[in-house]
Amino acid sequence: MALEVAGLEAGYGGARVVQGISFAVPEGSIVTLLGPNGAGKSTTLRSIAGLLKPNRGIVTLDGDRLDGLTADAVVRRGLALVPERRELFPSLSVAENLALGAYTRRDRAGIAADLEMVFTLFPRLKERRQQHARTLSGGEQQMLAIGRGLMSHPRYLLLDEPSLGLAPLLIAEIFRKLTEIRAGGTAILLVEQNASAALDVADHGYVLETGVIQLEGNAASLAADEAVRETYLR
Amino acid sequence: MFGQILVSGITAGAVYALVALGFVVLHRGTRVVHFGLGDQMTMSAYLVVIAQVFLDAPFAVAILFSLVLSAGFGVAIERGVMRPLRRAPLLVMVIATLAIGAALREGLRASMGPLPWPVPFLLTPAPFTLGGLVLVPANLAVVGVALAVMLSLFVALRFTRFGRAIVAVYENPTGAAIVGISVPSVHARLWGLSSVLAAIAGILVAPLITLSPDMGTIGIKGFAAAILGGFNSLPGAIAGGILLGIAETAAGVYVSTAMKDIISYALLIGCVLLLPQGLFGRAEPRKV
Ligand SMILES: Nc1ncnc2c1ncn2[C@@H]1O[C@H](COP(=O)(O)OP(=O)(O)OP(=O)(O)O)[C@@H](O)[C@H]1O
Ligand SMILES: [Mg+2]
Repeated sequence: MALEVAGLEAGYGGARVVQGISFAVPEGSIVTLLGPNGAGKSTTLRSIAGLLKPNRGIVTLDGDRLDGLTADAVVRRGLALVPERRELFPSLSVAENLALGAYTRRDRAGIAADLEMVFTLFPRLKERRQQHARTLSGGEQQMLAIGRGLMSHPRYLLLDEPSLGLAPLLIAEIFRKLTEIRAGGTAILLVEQNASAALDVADHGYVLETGVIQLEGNAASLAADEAVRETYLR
Repeated sequence: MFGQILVSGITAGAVYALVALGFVVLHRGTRVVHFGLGDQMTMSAYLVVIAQVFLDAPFAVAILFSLVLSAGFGVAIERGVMRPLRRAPLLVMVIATLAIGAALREGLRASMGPLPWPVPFLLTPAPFTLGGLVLVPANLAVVGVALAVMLSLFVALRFTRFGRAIVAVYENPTGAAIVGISVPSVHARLWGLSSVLAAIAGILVAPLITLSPDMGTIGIKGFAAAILGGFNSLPGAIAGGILLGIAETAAGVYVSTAMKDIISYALLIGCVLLLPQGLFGRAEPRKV
């Protein structure tokens, strides 16, 4: 059981941004995809999530084909994306944003339980339930984006740079939450530039450069790798 | 006198408000300004006549017939024209709506003839007086129906799954897609919804004016009302409609009846020049 990507190619118009990459996110694990600006990390996530049609390659989720599906169909298969720009519903409240996260579900009891889970994970969201998403701080918006992603009860969660623009203390807090989310049975594909924080929580990692996977390995060995240290862990 | 102006103004305004809602509901989700909406009002009113005169349907059935076909027509525009054009520039889509309007207008002229058709009132047009005001049941019915429709719209957007998906797309289409909402199907709903709003306005207004293929020019008033309301606010569209109805009636009484129609164009131009955000709209909020 895993999210498996094989030979994925994607881009915009003529530009080939992701040039045939393969990797896997095993059930119940955290896998990180590292790489510099413009490497194609977000493009990879967007093509897995169905926001961008890949040019080639196969994406499977526990054996089901995902490639070629639209974003809404992908969510129904059990995969949620927390995008780089968060893409919240700005003039809706925190509670309404979370409720829309559960749009694909009908099981009221399960939705209520997951809402409690999100509030336990991020008590700040509970305090600010009635506040408009637009007026949240950057860190709170990130929590809301993650919480909204969790409300679809995904088996796989794709996170695009959750540390972006956050203070170091908050980054540490959010990353601690990721291990709690994994403990709840959701596997995570974590795209990060903050390699040390990501490798701290991840089980396995891949390094993407100009659309090609340059390195891979378990998190500890990547963190010890000279090349990775040189480039990302100064 | 002032009370009388309010009463008549609100009747006209209620119709403008419905059309304005039709414009705004669609534009907020799809960015398209549907310049054929006025002609869809005409089409829907003709559909009532067709069902009554040619199919012998009772009035209520005829209205239902018209509403269903109108909704279907809206969805068909989305599927058949807008979806294939989705990668085209917005201007191309807007020009397509002009073409749809012209085709409807001329199609109706060719098939139904250029002469007016009688459309039944919902309630009797015989006026009565109450507290010094002359009231017309037919006009009160227009206001009542419009109010009920607006109320149902707000309830639906707030409390139904159908409505929540629309609100999510209004707020952020990418956000909507990643929570599992099919944005194209919401667009189809919006075309249907906007068409139904125009249909109701058309059926309400047809007996008060005359049903001819050119009745759709009244759509421009709904457009002006939407602009007054900021073009992205639903309550703004309603307020803009009512305000326009009252301003127009007042101009007709205090200045001259000829001024009546000019006022909406004057307000439209004035608003675009002086208040580009309308009276009630606000600048597009920055994305979170
Ligand atoms: N919508 C788009 N249209 C055209 N080119 C794009 C688009 N989005 C991204 N690109 C290009 O694709 C390349 C990869 O972008 P991508 O966002 O996937 O990088 P990334 O690895 O996520 O970088 P970052 O760490 O800065 O977020 C970049 O060169 C970018 O300019
Ligand atoms: Mg990125």
